[in-house]
Amino acid sequence: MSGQLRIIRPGPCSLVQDLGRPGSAHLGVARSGAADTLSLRAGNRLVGNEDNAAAIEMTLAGLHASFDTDSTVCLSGAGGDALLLDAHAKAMRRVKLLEPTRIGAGESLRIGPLKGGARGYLCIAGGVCTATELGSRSTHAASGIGGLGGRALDTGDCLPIGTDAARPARRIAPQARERLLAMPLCRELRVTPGPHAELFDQDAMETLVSEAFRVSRAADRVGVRLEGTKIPTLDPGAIDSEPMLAGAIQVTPDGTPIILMPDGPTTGGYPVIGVVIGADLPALGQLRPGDEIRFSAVDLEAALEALRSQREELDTLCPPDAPDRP
Amino acid sequence: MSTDPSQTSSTTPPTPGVTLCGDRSVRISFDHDPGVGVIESVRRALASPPIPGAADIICAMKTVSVVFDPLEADPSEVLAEVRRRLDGAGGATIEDRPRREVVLPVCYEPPFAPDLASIAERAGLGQSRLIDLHAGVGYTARFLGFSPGFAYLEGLPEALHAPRLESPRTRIEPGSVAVAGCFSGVYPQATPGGWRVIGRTPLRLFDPARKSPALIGPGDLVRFRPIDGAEYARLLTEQVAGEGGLQ
Repeated sequence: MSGQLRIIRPGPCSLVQDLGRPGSAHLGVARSGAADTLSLRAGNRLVGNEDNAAAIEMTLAGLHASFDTDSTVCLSGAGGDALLLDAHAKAMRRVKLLEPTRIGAGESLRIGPLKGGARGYLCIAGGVCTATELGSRSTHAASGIGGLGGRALDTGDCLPIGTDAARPARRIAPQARERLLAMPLCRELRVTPGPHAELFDQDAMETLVSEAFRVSRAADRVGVRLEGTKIPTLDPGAIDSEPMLAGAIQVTPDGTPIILMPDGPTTGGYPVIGVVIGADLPALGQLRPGDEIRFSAVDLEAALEALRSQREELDTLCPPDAPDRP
Repeated sequence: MSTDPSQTSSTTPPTPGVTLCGDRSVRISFDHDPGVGVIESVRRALASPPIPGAADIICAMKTVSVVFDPLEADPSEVLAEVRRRLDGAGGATIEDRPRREVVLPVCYEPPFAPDLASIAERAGLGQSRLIDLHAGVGYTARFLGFSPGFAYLEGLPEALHAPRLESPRTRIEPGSVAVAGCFSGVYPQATPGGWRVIGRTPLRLFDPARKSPALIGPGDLVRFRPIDGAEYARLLTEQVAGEGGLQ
């Protein structure tokens, strides 16, 4: 069975995203995928989906969408006032984050400006079923692939949605919800040192981990430009272009740090002072313009321990398989 | 022979540094450009059979990186496996292989070539001579990066070497053929860009609906064939019609 979700009001940048598109970086195609994978996984698990099911990623503000079929949805990540409306657009009830909600054919879901973080997820039982391109449904605007025509959702767009999830939806305790919502909202990002130490002043790493930085308005799925503090570089200029990855902190010749995001270039020509650890990438996806952030340096062991314990915590709070499953 | 003689003559390929970069990638880095043959043999040694947990292998001029999922594969094990494979490859053997040749028709006429005049002036050459030079040689696609399907093409004649624009353009049209430093390249999508634009091809460089989405692949031999505005328009129309037919 399948149905459709119709966009009544799209929000400033609403995109179909799953866990991303590994395997195409050699073509210059970024990995993409949800900027906050932790929230996507949690939302998907609660409606009974696999972690990788495609959802709608909203940016800074929510959307208004109607359903032509009975469905179950779950909001995760940053939230705004969310209302379930009947076919006559009359408010029926509020929809809470990380609480799976039945929605009837003809009803709609209206979500206001997001608070606390930058990105919210609308997960739907059965997932958003747009075509996979290069192995993923994730929208990558620069390639023009994924989602609907590789672009942000617009008024009147109709998205195919599944109605049958892999498992039944389920609820979790309020404390688990609170903890899951707080996990990606950390404003201190841990980094391991980058590969270009010789291109930086001795004080550069010290500056990175001791000063505060502000997220500028130039913050999107390609990169997050920081302001407020400059990183001293020794060699003003560029390196030969080399492979990049999400979380790499590039420093431009004038000392401005730019953190690469999931849609960032696969190769880049600015030296990298540090790389945000895997466990803190979801937090990176929740940064809003104006947020003040700090960095701390960790070694590989600490980075891996953080990632493993984060996944264990997610699995404990919100198991990938239903608890009653044999 | 299409193989670079400087590569075949070296009997002991340079040894790269192999380190972890972040908690999710192994970075293989040469001090100097080892040539496309060495980079390609490193890539092949890493690609097949796939390293467990590895998602992407990204090549650039003198750096290759393996991106993996650290929850699927322990980083120190991936690092050790990369080192083993590079050793096993005898420090990266260089093999001759037939290269795919890609010919791109290019219109070098004024509306498509805003920077041709300034490069000609820099070089002290006429514009037609510059076009002859650009279209008169074969290029090696060193790697893809910057944007989907954008290939860094090596082999640009020295007269065409020019610095990037001091202030990048906010929009470069898809198909724009450009030069910067010692590279030529073709912009697949409308993006901002700082390379100097000297022509335009009607071909689509990147199309995810194709079996091979990128028209140019790493290691390909690329040539440019000058065409006039009329042929440009004809090829563009044919391509659009062809795409309509496929759908």
